[in-house]
Amino acid sequence: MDLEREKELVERAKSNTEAFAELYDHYYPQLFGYVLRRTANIEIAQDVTAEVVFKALKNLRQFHWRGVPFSSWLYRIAAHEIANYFTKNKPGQFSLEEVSDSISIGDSSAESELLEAEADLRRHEEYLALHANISKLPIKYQEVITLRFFENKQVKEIAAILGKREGTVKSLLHRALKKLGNLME
Amino acid sequence: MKEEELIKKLERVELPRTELESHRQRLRMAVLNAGHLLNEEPRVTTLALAKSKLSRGMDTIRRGLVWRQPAWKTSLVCILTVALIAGLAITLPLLIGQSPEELAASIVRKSPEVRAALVVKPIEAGQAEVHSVAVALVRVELIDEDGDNVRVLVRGEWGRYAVADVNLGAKEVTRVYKFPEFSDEEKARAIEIVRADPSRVQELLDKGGTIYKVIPLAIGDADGAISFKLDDEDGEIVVEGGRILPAAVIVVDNQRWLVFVDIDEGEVVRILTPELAAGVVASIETGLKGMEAEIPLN
Repeated sequence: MDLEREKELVERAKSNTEAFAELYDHYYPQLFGYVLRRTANIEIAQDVTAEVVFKALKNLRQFHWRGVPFSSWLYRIAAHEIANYFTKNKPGQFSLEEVSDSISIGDSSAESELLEAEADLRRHEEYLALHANISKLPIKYQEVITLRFFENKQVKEIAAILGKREGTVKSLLHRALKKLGNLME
Repeated sequence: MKEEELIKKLERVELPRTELESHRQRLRMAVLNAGHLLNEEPRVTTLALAKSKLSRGMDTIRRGLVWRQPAWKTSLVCILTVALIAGLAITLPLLIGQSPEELAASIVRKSPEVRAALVVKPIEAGQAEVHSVAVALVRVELIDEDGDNVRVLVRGEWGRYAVADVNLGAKEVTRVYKFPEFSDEEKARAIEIVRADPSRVQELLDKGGTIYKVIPLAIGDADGAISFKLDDEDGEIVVEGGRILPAAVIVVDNQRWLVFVDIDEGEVVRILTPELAAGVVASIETGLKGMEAEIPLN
């Protein structure tokens, strides 16, 4: 989507859900993918993505074009929601992994799609092993590593997403790699 | 592991690119039904505005004090501080609670009829009460020329809404429109269906989930559309598109689920978290226009 079109859509979306739905169509795969690669869990990814979309819709009027691209703003909300999720759901607490919330009962196509998605995720063994180690790091390190290597974001973009200086992101990245390397000894 | 090796590993790992079309579509439908979220104003209250003025005043005073000042200037700053505090003490109460929105909010807050239409109470004695969402006044509209009567849209727990007509002069709620309630027999039947459901509902109940209450909630048709109107005769909110179904609220470890039941078909038709329900339970199209506010009522 070109920038002018995106700007026009964002402005319209502030009062029109149809316009927001167009933005949603464009960014859903990116958002869901990011949340999934951060959580490595299909059902949590569904819940958190839904939360991100509603937060974006609710706060859209507060978004202004001030050098931060719309996609970075969405990533920022997503990073915040993921951090929230991890804070609220520490190990041992009730996990959404165990119960699906949004599947219509009797909707067998949705259930089988979910099963297929879970099977597909399990096939990515190397990624899951990496993720298992990444998830042991503090959230600030998880964020920079995922954004840099899994989402292919440049330091400048990561800084925009996390609301930090580029220098801070570089040093976070450096420390994150060092810690992850130690974990993978 | 060496950093270079680790970077290579991170760059080359095959990532999951899973997509869930059913989730994408359900969420899109919920987005289209969530127009009310766009109408909600950010909460900037008179008190917040007054606070920011206060902090600006205090900053000016602080800057004055830390700068090297002659003695007379310090005294002047002290006098100004006292004057500012005294001024705020007088003007703050005047700034707060004077708008029609806040007056309507204070009247609605005291109305047992409005609260009864919004608050979800436990179904069984002894269960702790769960307050999931702050009851909030969403919108106020003047409905007569002298400005004494307003119509108020109030949002309650679990995405429940009520519309109240308020007479500001008499300080009373004159009418409450709410979703039609199901009879005790219908609620009992809904609970029976929920308890007999063999699938995920059973998992929730097995985990110690309790059925908290059965409430009437709107659910969209196949295209997700829901529209409402007010029935003056019965004092009810009538669904034109979509339908109202009994929804059982199940609480498990502080997680709350909504289970929609079709009594005629004798089956559970949908399970939702409150977050997703907020999108599905669409805004009420009451035709309310004009002033908008969001004032917490509790």
